[in-house]
Amino acid sequence: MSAARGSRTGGRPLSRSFRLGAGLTVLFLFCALLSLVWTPFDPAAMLISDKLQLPSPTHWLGTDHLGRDVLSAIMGGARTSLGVALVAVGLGMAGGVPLGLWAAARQGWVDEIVMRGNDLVFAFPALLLAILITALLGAGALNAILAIGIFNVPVFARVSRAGALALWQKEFILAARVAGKGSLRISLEHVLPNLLGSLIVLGTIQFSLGVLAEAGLSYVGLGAQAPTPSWGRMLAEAQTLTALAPTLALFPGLALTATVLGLNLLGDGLRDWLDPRSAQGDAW
Amino acid sequence: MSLLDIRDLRVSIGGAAILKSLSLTLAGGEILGLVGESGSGKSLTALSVMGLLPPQASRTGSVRLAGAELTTKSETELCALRGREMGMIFQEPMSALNPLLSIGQQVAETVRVHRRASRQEAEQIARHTLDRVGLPAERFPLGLYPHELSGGQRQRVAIAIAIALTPRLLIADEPTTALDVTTQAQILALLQRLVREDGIGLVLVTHDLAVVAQVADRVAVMKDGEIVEQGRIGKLFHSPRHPFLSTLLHDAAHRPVRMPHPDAAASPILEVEGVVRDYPPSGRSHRRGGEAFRAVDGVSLFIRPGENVGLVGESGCGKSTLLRTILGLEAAQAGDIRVYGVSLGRAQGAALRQLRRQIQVVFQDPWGSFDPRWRVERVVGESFHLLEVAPAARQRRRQVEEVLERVGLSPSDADRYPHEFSGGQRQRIAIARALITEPSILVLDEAVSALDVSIRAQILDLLAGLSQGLSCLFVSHDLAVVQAITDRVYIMHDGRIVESGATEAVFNSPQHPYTAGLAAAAPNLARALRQREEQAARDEPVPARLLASGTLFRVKRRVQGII
Repeated sequence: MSAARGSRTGGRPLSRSFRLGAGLTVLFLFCALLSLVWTPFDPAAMLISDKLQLPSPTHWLGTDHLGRDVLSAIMGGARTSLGVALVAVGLGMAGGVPLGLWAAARQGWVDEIVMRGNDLVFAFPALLLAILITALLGAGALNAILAIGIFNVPVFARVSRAGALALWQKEFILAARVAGKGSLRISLEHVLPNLLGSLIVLGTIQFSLGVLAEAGLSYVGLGAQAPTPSWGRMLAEAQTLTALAPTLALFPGLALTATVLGLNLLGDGLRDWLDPRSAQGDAW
Repeated sequence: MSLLDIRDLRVSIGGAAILKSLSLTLAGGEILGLVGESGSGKSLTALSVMGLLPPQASRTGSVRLAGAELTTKSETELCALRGREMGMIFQEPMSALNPLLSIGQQVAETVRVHRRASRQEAEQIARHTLDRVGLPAERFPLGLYPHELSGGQRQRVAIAIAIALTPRLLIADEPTTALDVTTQAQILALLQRLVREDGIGLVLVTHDLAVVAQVADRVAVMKDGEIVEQGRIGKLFHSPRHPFLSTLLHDAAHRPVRMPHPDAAASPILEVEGVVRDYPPSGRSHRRGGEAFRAVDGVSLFIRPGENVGLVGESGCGKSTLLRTILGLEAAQAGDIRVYGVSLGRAQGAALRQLRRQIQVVFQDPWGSFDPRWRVERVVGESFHLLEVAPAARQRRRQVEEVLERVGLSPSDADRYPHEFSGGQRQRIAIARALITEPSILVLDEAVSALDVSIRAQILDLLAGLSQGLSCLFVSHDLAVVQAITDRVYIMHDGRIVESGATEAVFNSPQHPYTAGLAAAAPNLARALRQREEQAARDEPVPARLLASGTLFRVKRRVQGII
């Protein structure tokens, strides 16, 4: 399959926005991974004498009100965002896609139960659930993952069900049924591979939403707790100091914007690139 | 002065010349048939007259409407003309109408765009126009929505929108292709009447020579972006100058040479007996009760070895449902389907797979019937699944290559993706997929309907060549195809078989009024030409010169040859 994709997509030019998106995403991943082994300073180390410094050769992005290095905190924050969003999207996919495929293949009461279950989750605001989980289990990155992950399940279930329903109407699925294949096998052999493109696009977009949700949860204190660095908490802390040190809010904000933008551009670019028919630019 | 005068029109998209020096004229009150195969540039010609070409297209040459040059007009000026001076009708009546607006609103909209008419006036005009296209007020109030109408009725609304302001030019792009034959006949008659009453010039874009022969005054034949032939129908169709038109005429009337007819005494391999298929009333309303919809109502049919059988009916008659039941995709509520005497309903596991392997199918849509992510090898080999012992990889590959060659493709095509093939080639792949399990019955669900006549002739030849030892069930609404290739035919209407028998007998002397109506409504090239000739003979005496030279005799021979 991977070799096949190479031949299908080979030689096709990648759009500029796709390359920009990929670049931003790679930068984000690089920062996150690098922070595992090295940051300029310990992101949690405080040095009150160096507080609220502007960007300088020592502290590239300056320091905060406790004298912590902002660049190190942003790199650490990238790792937190990456971890939370990745696992949450993974949870959503692992739960949602099989549910969606099942609902589409079986229809009838299975479909009803799955979709009404989805509606139930959708009926609660994400933040409410996060507060509920933190109230039960305490605040922390793990619970943020759980909250975001649960919200991703119905998103993936809906999209894969809708896509699968459309595919089940196709004649090639009929042909597979004439070949005597069961619904599980058809779902795996025909439906899932044809949904992959849209699931990957949705995945990247949900990933960016996950990054945002993690920032939002830690902004209100429900996400990763100190000393784990987090963009949301950096923004919350910088908020009271905007008059004194405007750059303090600027850098985590920029990091968040660039990451979300990059992931969205990447998602759109991937969708065009993964569709084998776009190789010919055919309208059908 | 002619109404529409196109001179030296050239259109290219991204450097590729699509229309090459196209010239044609059309007078008011005249119907010009613009025919050609898919990709010949017919639709693009229509769009360039309307000024609706895609933005990346470049256009040179001249298009004059009643003497006014259109190519130099600005978009705003063209907007003022479209809908008022020139109207257009498209193929798909469902997508040409806005599902959120009532039919009255949609017709009135055109009026209000172009005239400072009050809502009331616009509605009056809409009402009047809908009456004219055969949608009377008592049955079709203005407040109806497109989904409440049938395909033919929707197309009437689309025509009403186009003629509401009595334009001088009407372009109809395959207006009846998506419709059933009886509906098609009605829509064509409507268009003819409107042209006569309003003196509209009509460009009828179509792939169907029979339709053109039936309604058009003149014809222009397009090939690869050029008009290769243009003139009065009778003359041109009887003695085409350009080889392309004669090929086209020949292909349209093509009848494949078939093997000797099957043994009438042989016992049937497929027997369908009293099959009933009900659907619960639409959607989720079954909770509220209500009567089930009986799609197939006690249908019986049989197929003997080596026999080609046709199943003819219009959309909604239940033939697709019957087909799905025969293929074992849906269960029948009553009745029995037997293959080689074994009941499909009772077979399970390996026995069911063995039966399934005997019945394979080719679907209508050459674009939708393959998984776009699968290579041809995997597509064709999908039914290996049905074999008792699945062959080893190398053996599989060899069998796929063999069957590809059998359908006229090359073995190396196995490594390509379906989207790399043309429509005709795709249908060959579909046939290859069906043949891989060596079935005894091949079901063809409108398998050649979407193809151009020349490709269709090739596929019919291929099927005729294959039919040795293979029985075929042709499900189609196209009487010409069914007549060309089947031995026996079943006519289906409202879920029942209304008539059956030897194909020739059924079509030549239909017993059931429905069959008779169907046969009369179906466009028929030979019949249309014969009628023209009779008309012409009544209008003017045959010149002695023609009689002496024997031209007339040759013409008759040609017509008879087509029949």
